[in-house]
Amino acid sequence: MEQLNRLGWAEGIAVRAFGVSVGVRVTDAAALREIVPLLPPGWRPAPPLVRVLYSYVAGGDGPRRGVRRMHLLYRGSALLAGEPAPEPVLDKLEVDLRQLVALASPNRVFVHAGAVGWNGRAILIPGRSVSGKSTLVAEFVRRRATYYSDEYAVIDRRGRVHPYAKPVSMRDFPGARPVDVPVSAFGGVAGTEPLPVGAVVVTGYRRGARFRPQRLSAGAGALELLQHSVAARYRPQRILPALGAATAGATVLRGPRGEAAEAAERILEEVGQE
Amino acid sequence: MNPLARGHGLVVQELEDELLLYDTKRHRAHHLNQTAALIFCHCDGVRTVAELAELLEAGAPLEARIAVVEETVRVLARKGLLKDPRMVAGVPRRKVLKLGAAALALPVIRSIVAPTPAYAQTALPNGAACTASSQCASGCCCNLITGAVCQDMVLCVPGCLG
Repeated sequence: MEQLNRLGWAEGIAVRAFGVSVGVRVTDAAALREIVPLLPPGWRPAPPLVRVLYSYVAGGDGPRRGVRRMHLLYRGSALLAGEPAPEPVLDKLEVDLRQLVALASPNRVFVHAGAVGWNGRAILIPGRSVSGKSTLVAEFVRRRATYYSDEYAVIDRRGRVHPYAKPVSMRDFPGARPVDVPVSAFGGVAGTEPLPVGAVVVTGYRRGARFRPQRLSAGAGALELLQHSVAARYRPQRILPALGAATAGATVLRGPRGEAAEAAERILEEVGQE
Repeated sequence: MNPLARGHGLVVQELEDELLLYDTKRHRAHHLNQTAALIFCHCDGVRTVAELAELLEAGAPLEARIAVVEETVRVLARKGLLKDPRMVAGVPRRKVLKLGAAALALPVIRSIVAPTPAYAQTALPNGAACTASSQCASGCCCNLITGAVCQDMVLCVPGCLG
C-alpha cells in the first residue's frame, strides 16, 4: 500500500452509497470523468475518510517508444485488474463497487432481483444474471410500472424496497455482453420512494413455456429471496427479519415463463386480484 | 429421548404460522411450513412424540398424527435442527398418507445452502450442477439421467427443468 501511496495521484472522489463510504483515486484526472458515471446508484459526496479505497493507475504510452503501460485497478492494496485497455478495468471497477456496496451496506438488504412499482407496491423478480429479469422488468416498465432496479432489490428492515435505478442491462442473447439502456427508452420513469412488497415472482425464461405459476406461502417467498441475498452468509440476523417483513402479505408466484409480455400480463392479473 | 430443538447457532424468524431458520454453522436456511413449524417449536425435550401429536389437528386418527410427528422429527434431526441429532425411526411419507393423515397439512421442510455473494448473482456455466433453468447462463438446466446440469438448450434432449 505504501508503494501505491507514493504514486502521483492527480485526483480523487469520496462517496457514500447505502451507508458504505468508498473512495476512488486516479493518476490521471481525465479518468475520473469516466469513473463518475460508474459509481453505484444513489451515491452522494462524502468526507474523505472512507472505508474502502480504490486506486486506478492509468496506463497508455510509456516513457519509451513501443512501450505501453497497463491500466491497473487496486482495492486497498489488492490488484483487481490489469489490462492494456482501460475499458475492462473500468468494467471491473463498476462491478466491484456495486458488489461491495451490496455486501457491506449496514442498513439495507441487497437481493439480486428485478424490482418495479405497481399500484404503490413493489413486484420483485429474484434471479441470477441471465435469468431474464431485465427483459421482464423492461416489459413491466412498458406497461407503465415504475422502474426500481433490474439488478438489486434494496430492502430495508421494514421490508420496503428502495430504488436502485441503474440503466437496464439488456442482452441480445444469453452470454452476450449486456448493453445499458436508460429506462426512458422503454417509456418509463424511475421510482423515488420506498414501496412495500406486493409480489415476489420466481421465474426464469424457458423457450415455449406458458406462465402458469404456482402460488407459494410468504415463508417460501422469503426463502427464495434469501437464496439471492448477497450478504446471506454474513448477516442472517438482519436479513431474515427484513425478508420476513418484505414477504408478509405479498403474493408469491413460481413457475417458468415464456415470452415476457405474456408473463407480465399474467403477473399483473394475479397481483390485481389481491 | 424426547426431541429437543437446537437453540444455539440458529437464527429463527417467525412468519405468521411458518418459520424461517438459518443455521449459522452449516450456512443452510430452512423453511418450515405450518405443521413442521408447530412441531419444531414444541420440541422442548419434555414432550413425547405422542404429546406432540396431540398438538396437531384432531381431524386425523392419532396413529396418523404420531406418524406425521415421527416423520417430521426424523427430518428435523437429519437436517441438524434438533439438539440430539440421532435419527428417530420415521415413517415413510406414503405410509403416513395411508394411515389417514390426508386431513392434516403435511409437514414440509425446504432447505437451501445459503449463497456466497458471488453465487447469489452469477449464472452457472455449462456443465455445472443445477436445480432450475434460471440458475444457468444458457437458460437451460438439462435434466440428464446422471443429474441436472447447465447445458445449451438446443443440445438438451431430455428437456430443460423449470
